Amino acid sequence: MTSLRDPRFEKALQAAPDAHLRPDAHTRQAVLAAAAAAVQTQSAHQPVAWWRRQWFGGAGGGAGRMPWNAALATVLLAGFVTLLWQGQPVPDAQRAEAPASEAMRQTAPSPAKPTQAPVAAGDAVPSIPPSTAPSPKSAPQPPPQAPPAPSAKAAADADARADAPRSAPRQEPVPAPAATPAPAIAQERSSEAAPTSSAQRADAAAAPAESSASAQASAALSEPARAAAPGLAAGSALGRAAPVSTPDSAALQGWTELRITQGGQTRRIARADATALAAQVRRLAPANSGESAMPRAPTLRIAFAQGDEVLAEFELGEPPWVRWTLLRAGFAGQWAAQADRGQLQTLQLELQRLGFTAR
Amino acid sequence: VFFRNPECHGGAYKGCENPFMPAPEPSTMPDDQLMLAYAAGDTGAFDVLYTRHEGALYRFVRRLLGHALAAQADEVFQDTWLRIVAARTSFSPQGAAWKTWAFTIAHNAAMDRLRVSGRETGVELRDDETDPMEWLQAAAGLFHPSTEDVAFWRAAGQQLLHCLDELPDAQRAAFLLHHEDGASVEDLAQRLGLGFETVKSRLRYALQKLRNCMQRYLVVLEQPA
Repeated sequence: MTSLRDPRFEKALQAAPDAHLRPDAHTRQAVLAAAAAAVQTQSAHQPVAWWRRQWFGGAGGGAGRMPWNAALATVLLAGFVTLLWQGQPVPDAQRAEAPASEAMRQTAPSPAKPTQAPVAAGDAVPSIPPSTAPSPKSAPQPPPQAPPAPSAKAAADADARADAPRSAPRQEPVPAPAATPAPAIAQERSSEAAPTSSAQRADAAAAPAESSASAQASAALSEPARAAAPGLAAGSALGRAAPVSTPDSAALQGWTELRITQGGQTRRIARADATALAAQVRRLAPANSGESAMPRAPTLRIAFAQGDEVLAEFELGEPPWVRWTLLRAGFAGQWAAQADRGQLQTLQLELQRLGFTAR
Repeated sequence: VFFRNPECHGGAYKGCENPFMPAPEPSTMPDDQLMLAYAAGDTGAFDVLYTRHEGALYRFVRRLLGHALAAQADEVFQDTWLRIVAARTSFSPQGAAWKTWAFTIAHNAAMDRLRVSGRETGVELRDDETDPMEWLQAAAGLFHPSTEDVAFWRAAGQQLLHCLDELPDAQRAAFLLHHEDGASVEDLAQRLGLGFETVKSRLRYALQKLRNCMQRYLVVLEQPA
């Protein structure tokens, strides 16, 4: 590199009087302000890349495109999940409803079968095996369709009235026979249903499948039969829960003694001593069976008597089936049912307390 | 704190291999990176750059304008920086160094002003900033200071400024760029768009005139101690 410098001149320039001069302060401020303004203007007009314009809608349009971006992301995510689950079963999508549908399958066809239709008087309740009956806990809770249970006073009035079917709840679609004994049972059951507990209502409500499946069968039933439905519905649940004790009904009203026949011997027990036994017997209300429910001779017979008149007979046989025969005028009828073993044990304990043999 | 270094914008420079390198302290950054940082929007970098070269550029502009146009030095100086600001995006460190680039801009601004003003070379015998006693002693031939004396070099500098005022603009510009900016003859030829011999000739004429003008001081310096 060619150099024509004179070091003496360089030193003289460095020591010159103007070596330390500075521009005016206003000039300095003007330069710095102009420099800052130029950069700010540049950032305001800085070009935006094409992909940024497409994605964000320009420098300030990000918020405007955000919903579209969110929608696109949602679609992409849904497609990805669909691809992941393609050909795979959706896990446990119906698990919560499985018990109800299973119970519906098991209970619904029963009333539709004419062979299992009740032939015994008033025994139209479909057969529900205790082992297959859905438990109230596992069954889905239906909407509160049933009206509130009648009060105790209303139930007492209903017990005294002869037109019990009208006082009974009508919303229970459980089929019931239109046979003659039905009104009596309906009357008694309506009186039983009067103080219906919440558990009973739950049981009744837990059978929506039965209701819907037996809609056609129940359509042919008479109003008294429908009126007996609450009680029968409770009876159909013998294997599930013990019904409450039943008060005197019209069919058994006024009984004074029980005549218990076992092993060819008959023993009479006054009502004052047989109240508990009568209550246990009445718990074994006929539910759902036909004539064939009593294949053998009964091993125990309990007759409700009023003086010399026998109002009703209760028979117990093996395997545990029970049969009721109402003999009172106006309530005549007979039907049988499969007894609940638990209630039978309670009955046998009461019989043992009275001195009978438990079988 | 790590952030994108704005000085790494537009090219791979030293320390910009990783764009998320820690930002260096602006006061320690070289001129080129400061200018790039300013071009990327960092006004702080410009402040550092301005503070670093304010005096040299102002001095260069003022000397190039000469005593007659000294009053316009601030205006030309401001114009120089405005030109630098306007040309910030065109600055490329692959070319000349920032200082060379800036001095060239200042040279062009001052020469434009000289061209417009029709400057007449006047003979200024004294400067207000010159110590009257020193001037009187020098004029009377009574001034024989030591070569190490600050006052001597101050008086020599003042005399050199007077001598520069008597040079033609082109020679003065070539001399100042060569001595103050440190540009070589080749660089000057390239920056000024002139031939090498032209620049060399200008420098030679300038040196010759200045030596004649500074004879009194140079004699003192040539005397043995």
